[in-house]
Amino acid sequence: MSDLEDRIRAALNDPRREIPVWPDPMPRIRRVARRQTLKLVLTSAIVAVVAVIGVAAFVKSLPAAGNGSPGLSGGPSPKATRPATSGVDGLPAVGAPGYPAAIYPPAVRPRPAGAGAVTACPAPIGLVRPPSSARATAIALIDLWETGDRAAALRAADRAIWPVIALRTYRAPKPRPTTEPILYAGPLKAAHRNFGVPNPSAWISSSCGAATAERSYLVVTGSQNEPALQGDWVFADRAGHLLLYFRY
Amino acid sequence: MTTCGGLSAVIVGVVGKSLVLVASEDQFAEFVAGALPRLLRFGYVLTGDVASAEDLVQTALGRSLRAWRLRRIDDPQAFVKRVMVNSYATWYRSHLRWEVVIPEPLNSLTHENHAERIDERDVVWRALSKLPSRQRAVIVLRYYEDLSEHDIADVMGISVGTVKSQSARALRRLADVLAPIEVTRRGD
Repeated sequence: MSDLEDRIRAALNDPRREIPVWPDPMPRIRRVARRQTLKLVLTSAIVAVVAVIGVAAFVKSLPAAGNGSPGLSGGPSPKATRPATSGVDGLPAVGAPGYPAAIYPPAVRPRPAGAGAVTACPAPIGLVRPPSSARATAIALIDLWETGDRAAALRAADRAIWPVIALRTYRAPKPRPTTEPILYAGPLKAAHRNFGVPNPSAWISSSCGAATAERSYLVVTGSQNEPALQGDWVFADRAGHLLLYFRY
Repeated sequence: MTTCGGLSAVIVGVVGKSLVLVASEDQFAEFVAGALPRLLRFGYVLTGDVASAEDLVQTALGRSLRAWRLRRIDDPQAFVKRVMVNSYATWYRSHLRWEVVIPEPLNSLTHENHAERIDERDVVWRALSKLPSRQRAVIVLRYYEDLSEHDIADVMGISVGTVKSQSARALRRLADVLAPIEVTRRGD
């Protein structure tokens, strides 16, 4: 190996291999240094801009602080709509695949007259009176809420209640649906309650507007003898899709 | 003006309790004037190509000038060579060399007989140009700069074990490349 090493040394120190020295090297070196500095500054600027845009996008996607309903639009008007929960907790954004904006428009902020009873309202856009066949569909959706997975629950609900779904823990689907008796299934406005249990019709009317209340469907589950344990499920029909939007 | 580590430096200010010493750009120019032939030669043995060597030297000197403006460099020649080696190892690693140009020595043009030009050193030089950049850098630092394995590891920012393995691979590869040539020559 020493012979090889000697040959390598001889080749590397070959006196014939010399490069002519630059006559005036400093201007050349200063030019290179300026170019390197410029490149560094540009790269830093680009990185800074990208970082600022990323932070701004992240902050924008966070729920607005100071109101009870994160990211809701200013009122029940369909014009004043903003994504209620897009990008938050992994909830699909408005217009995301599988969630067309016509069926799942952004929720709207409830009116102050509701006094906090309802945290978000369905956008009035596209709401129709539920058909007489809504009972079976509504009961099936309640079963889905109880036994299905998160994606199924989202598809069966309006964005007004999506934040609640986001907070729920969905494990493996339960083997059987609810066996609670159905005490009432019909138009919200037609429901009459006894035993001092609050009537959600008044809440919906004052919070989301009379028009939304007129187009809402109510299912009451539980025991007739235990009004405090009864469950109220309020649905809206948007373009033929029955969607749960309030639960009490 | 004060003298520090063989280089004259200018005291430009006081930060906390320590003096900030920054050498002037004129001193960098002096250093370049003295060290440039050696740096160009080092770039040439490192890259095996005149144009690449000049690119490498000016890139390293540009970076060194920027560093020089910010802080005092005790051993500027070692600093520049370190930048050259690491720039070479990273730059050439990311550039696929589709065509390996093996230049003739510049001074060999005076030879009239072609056979005389292809001497032993050129054969080894060609074999060196076939090495991967990292292995070539190790060989150059070992046999041109006469650095120890520990010093090579320090310059390249790698472990001594990696230096040993790269060196062994390079020597084995060179032996493999040069062996058939030896056989052919003996046959002639």
